[in-house]
Amino acid sequence: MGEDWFIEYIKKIRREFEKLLSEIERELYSPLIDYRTKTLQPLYEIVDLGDKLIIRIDLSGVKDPSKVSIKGSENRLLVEAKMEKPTSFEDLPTYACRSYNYYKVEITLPSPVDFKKSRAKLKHGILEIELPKKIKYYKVKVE
Amino acid sequence: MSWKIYERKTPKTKFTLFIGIPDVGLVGPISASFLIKTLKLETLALLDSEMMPPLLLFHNSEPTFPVRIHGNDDICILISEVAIPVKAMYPLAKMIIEWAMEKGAEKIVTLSGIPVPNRLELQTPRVYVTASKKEYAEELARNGVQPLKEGFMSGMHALILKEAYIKDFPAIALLSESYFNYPDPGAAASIINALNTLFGLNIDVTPLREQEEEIRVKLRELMKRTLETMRQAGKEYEYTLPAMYA
Repeated sequence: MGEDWFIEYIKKIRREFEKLLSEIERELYSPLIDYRTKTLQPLYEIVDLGDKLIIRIDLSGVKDPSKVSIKGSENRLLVEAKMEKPTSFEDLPTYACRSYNYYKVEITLPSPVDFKKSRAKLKHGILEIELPKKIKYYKVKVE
Repeated sequence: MSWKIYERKTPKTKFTLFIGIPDVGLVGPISASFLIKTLKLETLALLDSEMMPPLLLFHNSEPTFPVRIHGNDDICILISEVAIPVKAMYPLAKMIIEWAMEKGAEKIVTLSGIPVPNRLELQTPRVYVTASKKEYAEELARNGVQPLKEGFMSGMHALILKEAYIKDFPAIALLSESYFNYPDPGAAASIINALNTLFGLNIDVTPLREQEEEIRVKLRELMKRTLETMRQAGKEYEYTLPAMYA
């Protein structure tokens, strides 16, 4: 009876681990297209600068900043954008032989951020979002 | 475990072999593909290895191999349209040097990128040169092409220069300032302009610049696959200062 909590604890870790593994597999092997929503997934990178995160997303073909939508929570970021003109994948059956002009990407952030203090700029089709981290510092007295 | 080369046509001797293999910013394959299309170079040889994924490629309904050599009387271009796994890089570098020497090539020039953090601010990326012998690089370091004086190189071009160094064969690496993890046709345009200056080519890069955005969108998948191999190839060393620098 006393071991039940431990078995449950192990099961919980296993569920978390499997969830993480399936996220990694999806990230590595899934194509950069979502036919269901007719969107392309852009390439992105997360740079951790200690007190803030810089998210760079390649939104090639997007020129007008008003066509970019950024939504965020403490640890998730959702970016959608419309290209100036569609890109044709009409010879590729794996892209359903059609054109695409929307990007959509949902990014899990490595640490909680303060979206109210965030900034974003679009240059040469690269979107750069600066997200200050939610960090509370405590002062330690040195003797 | 090795590479096999299936020749369709033998190149004439005294040619230059250019190499464009996926790496930083996909500068190599973007430059190589543009040169092949612009100069209308025919396929000379197909390369394959059991270390590669089992892939066959189609262009305009024509089957071909992802790694192959195109050429004319003066130049040959080795292009790879797939990321090369690290374990396949070593025998490929060895085979490239042996093939070039056997066919009477004059030199090898690898086309690639060097990641810079300020790429977004650069209108025209600079091109660096390094080589299997210091003298080759010094001879080419002019007209805006700068010598690479310090630092590590990793990936296929590093192995080709190493193998050329061992065999005392002239090999040169041209590296354009580039995005690390986004396809960079702008960096490829800088490489082609450097080739125009250094090797007397006369290639207009305007069509490459006009297609820049489309290329970036269409090469996302190849960039993603290439990033996986770059992580295994010790690419992070390019940001590391060598111990002798201290």
